[in-house]
Amino acid sequence: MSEKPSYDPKAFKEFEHAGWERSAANYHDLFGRLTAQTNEAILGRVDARTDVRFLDAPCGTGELAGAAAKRGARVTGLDFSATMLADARGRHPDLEFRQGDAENLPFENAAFDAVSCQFGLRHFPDPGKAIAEAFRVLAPGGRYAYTDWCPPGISTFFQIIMDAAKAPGDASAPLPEGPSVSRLSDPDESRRTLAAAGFEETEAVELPVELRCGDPRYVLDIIYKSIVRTRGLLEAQPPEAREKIEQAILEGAESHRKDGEIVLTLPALMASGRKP
Amino acid sequence: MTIDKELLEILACPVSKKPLELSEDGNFLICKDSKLVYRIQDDIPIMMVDEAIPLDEWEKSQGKG
Repeated sequence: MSEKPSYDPKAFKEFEHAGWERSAANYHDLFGRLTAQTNEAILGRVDARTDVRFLDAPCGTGELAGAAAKRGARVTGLDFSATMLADARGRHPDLEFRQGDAENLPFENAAFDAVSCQFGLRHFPDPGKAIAEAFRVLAPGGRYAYTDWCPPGISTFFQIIMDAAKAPGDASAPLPEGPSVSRLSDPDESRRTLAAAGFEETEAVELPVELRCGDPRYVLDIIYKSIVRTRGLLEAQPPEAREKIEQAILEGAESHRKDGEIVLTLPALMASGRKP
Repeated sequence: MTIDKELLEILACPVSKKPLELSEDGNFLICKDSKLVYRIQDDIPIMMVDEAIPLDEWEKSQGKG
């Protein structure tokens, strides 16, 4: 689990940070609608209820934080993007937000009863460090849950993108490489990772997430306006290659039209554990 | 300042993980241990190591150096 990264963590972090600053304005209305479908499962798993000290890191535009507050939890949201936080604060003026780094949490040991990381780990240079930090700031008995996207094969959304990326024939995009994401959404690997970090009662369950739209261009909107790594892949292509990929995404999405509506599945894996 | 006092208590320096002191004007959080100062902007503490101000520089800027 502790092999040396084959990528430059600093370049990856800068790429991610710049990307999220750019996606903040549209995140809530586009990709945020998908991630929010896992809110209740996460909050149930970490037992976010009245007076529970709850940390969401990264909190993005604050949807999960807001849902936790509705359950009565004492909520703190943390994100590394000032633009995301400004949006979060506008939507949830009564909640507490901190700008910070989930791999170096600015909190004392045992400060929270529940910690979540909703689709955040794949964006960190060192996901293991973020899990270790979550463990540190949890009080004994506290619960942690993270979600990550299931891979192509399980996910029609990511299958379409992966197939489309092959459309130009030679997809060799000079993206800053990041951590491997396959491990995070594998049920056994995720439980092993959490157990190695010290968690007990580990669990890994698949959560359904669906994207429904009438126009396949909505899928391109999501990619270009509200997420980071896939957009980076597309923008790194020469114009003709990019056009081919876009066309293949549109056709791929269209092939999932049923009763007049395009329905793509993008299930999430939720992995969780309890601090002894 | 509208920062929740209890939540300020659990805030720690991301480097030293030690408690922070609020500056007199309520605009900064100081870690004596790592000698770093963090800004509070629009009620949001900026707890990013990259954006922290070295304590000696901050003291000079506050006319305390």
